Amino acid sequence: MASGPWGPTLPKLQDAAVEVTAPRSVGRPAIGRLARDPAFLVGAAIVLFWVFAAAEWRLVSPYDPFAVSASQPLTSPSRTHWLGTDDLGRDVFSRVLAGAAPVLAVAPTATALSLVGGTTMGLVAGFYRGLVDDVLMRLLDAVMSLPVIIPATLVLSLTGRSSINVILVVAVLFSPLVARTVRSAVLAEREREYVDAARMRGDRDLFIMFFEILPNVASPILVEGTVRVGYAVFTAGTLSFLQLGIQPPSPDWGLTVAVERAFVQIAPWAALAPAVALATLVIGLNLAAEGLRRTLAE
Amino acid sequence: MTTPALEVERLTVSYRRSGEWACALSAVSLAIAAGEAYGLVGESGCGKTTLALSLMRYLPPNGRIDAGAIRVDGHDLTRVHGRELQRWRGSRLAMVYQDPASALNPALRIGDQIAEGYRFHHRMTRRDALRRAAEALARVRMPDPDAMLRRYPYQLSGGQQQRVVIAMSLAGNPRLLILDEPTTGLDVTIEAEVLELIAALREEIDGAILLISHNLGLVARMCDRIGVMYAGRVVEEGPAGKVLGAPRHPYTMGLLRSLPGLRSTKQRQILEPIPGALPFPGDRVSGCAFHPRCALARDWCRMNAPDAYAAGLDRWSRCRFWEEVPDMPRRAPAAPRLSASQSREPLLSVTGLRKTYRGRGQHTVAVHDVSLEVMRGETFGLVGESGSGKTTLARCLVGLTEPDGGQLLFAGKNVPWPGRNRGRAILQKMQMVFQNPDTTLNPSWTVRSILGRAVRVFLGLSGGAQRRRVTELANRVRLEPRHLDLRAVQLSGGLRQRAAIARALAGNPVLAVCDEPVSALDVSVQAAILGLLVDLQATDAVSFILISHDLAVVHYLADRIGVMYLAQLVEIGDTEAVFSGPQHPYTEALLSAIPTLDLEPRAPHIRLAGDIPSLAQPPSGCRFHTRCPRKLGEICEQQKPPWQNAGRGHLIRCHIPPEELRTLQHT
Repeated sequence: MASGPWGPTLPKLQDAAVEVTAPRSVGRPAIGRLARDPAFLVGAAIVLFWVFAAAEWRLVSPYDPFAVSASQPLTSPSRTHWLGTDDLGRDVFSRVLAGAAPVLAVAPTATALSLVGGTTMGLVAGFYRGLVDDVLMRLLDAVMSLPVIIPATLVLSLTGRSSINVILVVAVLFSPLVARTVRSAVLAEREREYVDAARMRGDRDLFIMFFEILPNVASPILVEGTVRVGYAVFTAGTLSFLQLGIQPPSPDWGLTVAVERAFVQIAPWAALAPAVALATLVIGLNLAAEGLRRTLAE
Repeated sequence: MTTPALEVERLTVSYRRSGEWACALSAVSLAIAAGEAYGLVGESGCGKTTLALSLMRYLPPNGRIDAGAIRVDGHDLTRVHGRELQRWRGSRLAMVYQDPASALNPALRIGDQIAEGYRFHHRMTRRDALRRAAEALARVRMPDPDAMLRRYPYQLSGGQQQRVVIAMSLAGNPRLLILDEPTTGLDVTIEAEVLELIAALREEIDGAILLISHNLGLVARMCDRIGVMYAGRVVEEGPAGKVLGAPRHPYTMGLLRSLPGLRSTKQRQILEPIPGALPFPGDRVSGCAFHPRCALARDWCRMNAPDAYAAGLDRWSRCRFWEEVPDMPRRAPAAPRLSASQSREPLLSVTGLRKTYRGRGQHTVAVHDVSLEVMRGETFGLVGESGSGKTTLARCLVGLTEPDGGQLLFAGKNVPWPGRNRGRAILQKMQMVFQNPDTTLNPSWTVRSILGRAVRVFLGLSGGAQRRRVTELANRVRLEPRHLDLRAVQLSGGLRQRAAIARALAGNPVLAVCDEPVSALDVSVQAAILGLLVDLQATDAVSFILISHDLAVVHYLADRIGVMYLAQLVEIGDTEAVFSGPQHPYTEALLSAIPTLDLEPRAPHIRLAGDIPSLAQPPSGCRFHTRCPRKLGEICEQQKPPWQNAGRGHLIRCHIPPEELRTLQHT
């Protein structure tokens, strides 16, 4: 009992006082390690370049990307027009810089939406398992069983061609992939004893899902997010190439490739430049994602 | 003097961590003669495994040997590379790892795995190699070796797997056999069997044996000489019996004092944890590495690194003041503790608890009709090997797992099984301390927020009152205020377990279920946690249900114990009564299987035949009859044994009457 004759009078052991903290190199934050990862640095530099172009093309592009010049259509690259001009005599270099804007507006927004939706579904499926999991995951499997381009084409043909619709379609089509990743992380996490401890506190399921489990699956979500942005750029590019997204005269890369490919025999630069730009952005995003994944996995 | 089979001379090994080289072994020297078994003991992180890996030249890419020599029969292994090293490893060096399941390739048949050594190193044909493999299996006492050759590892039990690994390691007649915690993952009765095998094989091994273990009792029984490691150094070495019987280094003494003996109880012995913690590799401690934790430390120790001082015949100690070790001051008063006041009023009573896991095609009954009572203020110990249903039982009690049937009375009231139907008032009164210090705390939360949440939910406190309560809780489990703002990764195992205990205590529970609370901790930390549990029980009158596979821990802490075998309780009674007998034959075997430090001769060991049967097809009649050394005959196979009363609430589920068991066990 509380009045146990030796309990309160027992000299305090000092063991805890000297028990030192764990030896892990937790003092070194992940950001520090990330800053020394060469893949991440190269990827981040490429991405930052395009983000800068997307934000500030009005300041840095040498010509107005929309200015038509009937006198000099399809001129080859030269000192005045570094990447030549297109069929309407617009400066290709300026259009490539400006073309980063639409794709970098669409892809991250779509990814963010797919992360929100996918994380919620993954948390619910992984946490409840059983019937909820089965039904939800089979539905998501059904969505994933079609090549992205087919449902996207159908939906965009029906709802109309606009950037907003592209964002929504990509978000819906990508969220099952996010949900899968999150679900598998949650499955491992829900078996941990701290989740049992929360249950023994009588905490509600929603609290356990969003406050106990979610912070611990944040790193796979973050990695999945960066990987997804790359794919979203790719998908958005494809959709605008199919002219299902943003409409001319936008300098959007996919759209430009679609329009300029008619002249690819006489002026390959007009179609090639936006294609290469798209490729570098995707590569940059993938390098950054890889570096991030490696750092977080350590 | 002849050359020893293994000679390690001033071996220094470092690891690179985040760009810096940290010393993991510093100038370790030891020699093992052919046919000799040398035991290496020490807590985790002291460098035991690093030494083993260095000897095999298996250091990871971030490890390197800085200096020193490893000589096997006079050949320096540090100078061997490439193919030559490969030949050494397969033929003259062998290692048995801790986890047999991961040492065997799950996709290959046992026979081919053993035969590989013969085929590669002795260029035998597959046929000859398989024949030799069968012989090797026979050598490790494997029944029906020819049939075993065709099996896959998953078809073998843990004990059999370890025997296969041992057979493989003996394949090349090694000159150096390293056993790294060979039985740590195994159950007590299986461990005993493997140890017996190793002891029997010693005659046949003419090389040096290096046995690495954290278990002092095991090393004491298996080895001729032992070395105690601390912070990358061997601090004491000598004949096994002498080192453990009369230590000459303060660290060895500290280890022994923090260990509950098999016959010690919380009333009679106060465990003395070694203060402080191991230094991390790379931390430079001036002078003697142990001085910050040493009761004998003085200025000399802080300034000078001690040499190896001869401390009697064949033994030395890396402590200049070794002569004072036997009288090393105790830190806590040795006065016997009074027993915590307990009543005979039942706090929790379970009747007919049954839990079935339904799988495809087969149902596994994990807990089979268990009934038990826990009194107010007492500690009820639950022992049994893995798979006996201890943890399932505990999870059912606290409401984390829903059983199929049974009744639960808690504090005089009927309580529903599922935790979510219990209501906070009951949840608060019955809490749990989990086994694994790595996952028990949410890695994203600080200790303060974990405790704060519990206080808020159970006591409805917020703001200043919450903060005060959290500080008070931390104080009770002897966590320092600075620990409160750390997350789990920043805390050592012992500190995490303290935080988990504080969380369980947040709502002033009357019952705490502790599932293996100390099994993942080092000896000295374990002592501190056990001491804490004893103190908390005395001050708060909490009842504990203590689940453990470690009988010494259960004996130390528990007032009453229940023994489980294959989902059933087979014996229940006061701890003293159960330990002094008469005992259920299974309990008897469990007790006899523990490698203890008691050096006086004991009754002959009882070895259980065969492996633990599968729960999916439990044996008919008495579930223990397949392994029971005291089996009567057909009655055991056909009839369920009755509960027999051995006096004062001590019940044994056996066909043999208790009086007869007593006479059998005392002759």
